[in-house]
Amino acid sequence: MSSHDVTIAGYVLVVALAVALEVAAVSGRVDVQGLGTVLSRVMRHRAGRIGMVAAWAWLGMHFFAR
Amino acid sequence: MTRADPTQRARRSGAAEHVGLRVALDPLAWILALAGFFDGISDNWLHAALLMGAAVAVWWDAWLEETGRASPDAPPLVPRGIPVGRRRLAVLVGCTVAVLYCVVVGSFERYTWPVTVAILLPATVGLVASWRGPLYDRATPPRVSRLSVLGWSTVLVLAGLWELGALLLQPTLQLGSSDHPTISYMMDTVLAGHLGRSVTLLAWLALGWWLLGLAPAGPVPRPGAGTQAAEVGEPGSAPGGEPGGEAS
Repeated sequence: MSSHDVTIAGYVLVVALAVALEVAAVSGRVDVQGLGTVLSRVMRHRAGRIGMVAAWAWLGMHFFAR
Repeated sequence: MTRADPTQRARRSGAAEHVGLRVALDPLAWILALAGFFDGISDNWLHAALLMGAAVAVWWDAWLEETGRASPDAPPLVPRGIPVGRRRLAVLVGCTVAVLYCVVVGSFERYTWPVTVAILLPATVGLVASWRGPLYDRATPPRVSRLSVLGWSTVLVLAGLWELGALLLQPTLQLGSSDHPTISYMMDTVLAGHLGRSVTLLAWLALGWWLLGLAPAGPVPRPGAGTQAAEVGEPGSAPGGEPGGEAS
């Protein structure tokens, strides 16, 4: 297994963990909330909204802007 | 008019210092400011300006909150009770504008001024909207469980550390490597063509819209109460003013 494969496997593992959490939240069998609920909770205050939207804006700038 | 005695003045001064300290130590503002600082020293001054601006906004909001001068959120931009026909028309127009934007902006080369301006436009609108208030009239979700906080924080930290590890294992910070690809490196292939750029832009816009739509407008719904309990402007209701205080 090359370094490239290991790096990709790490990303896949993180995504798999996120999917597992979301599935667990939807199933309701575990006391865990989905990403949308958690982010909604974070964004109930102005500061949380600004933080999240700034992160989103930065993402667009990072990939496209000067 | 009586002048405050020295003990009262000292107490007020002490309280003001505490307020200043609490505002100055706001963790979110520091995260944004540090991210801006590191982007700035990497010669990405526009990115740094965006992050620093957001940090200042968070500090300013904290100051207003601490001094009791914070203005309440504006009512949701999309109120309840809009006729279905009007709502569908708005969605159709919004989607058409978004697709046109992505097709046009996707034709621009990356890291040029036209695409920079085109990205700054929705980014600024999003930031202003996030300061203003929520997009939809939705209730604040109840306090999230510790397992949720732990689980999603783990995902976030693992993703960040893995990306950082890949970045540090590159030949240089500026030179990508196929052996240790970062997300940005992998995206370079996707963003090399018009279609990839347009699709990525559409996904970015959709993510921003989804995020803005998550912001709640009302208090936590009471057990047994329907969603109508979260109507905006309900007397005595304040965003996030539910019993139980801070969470997550």
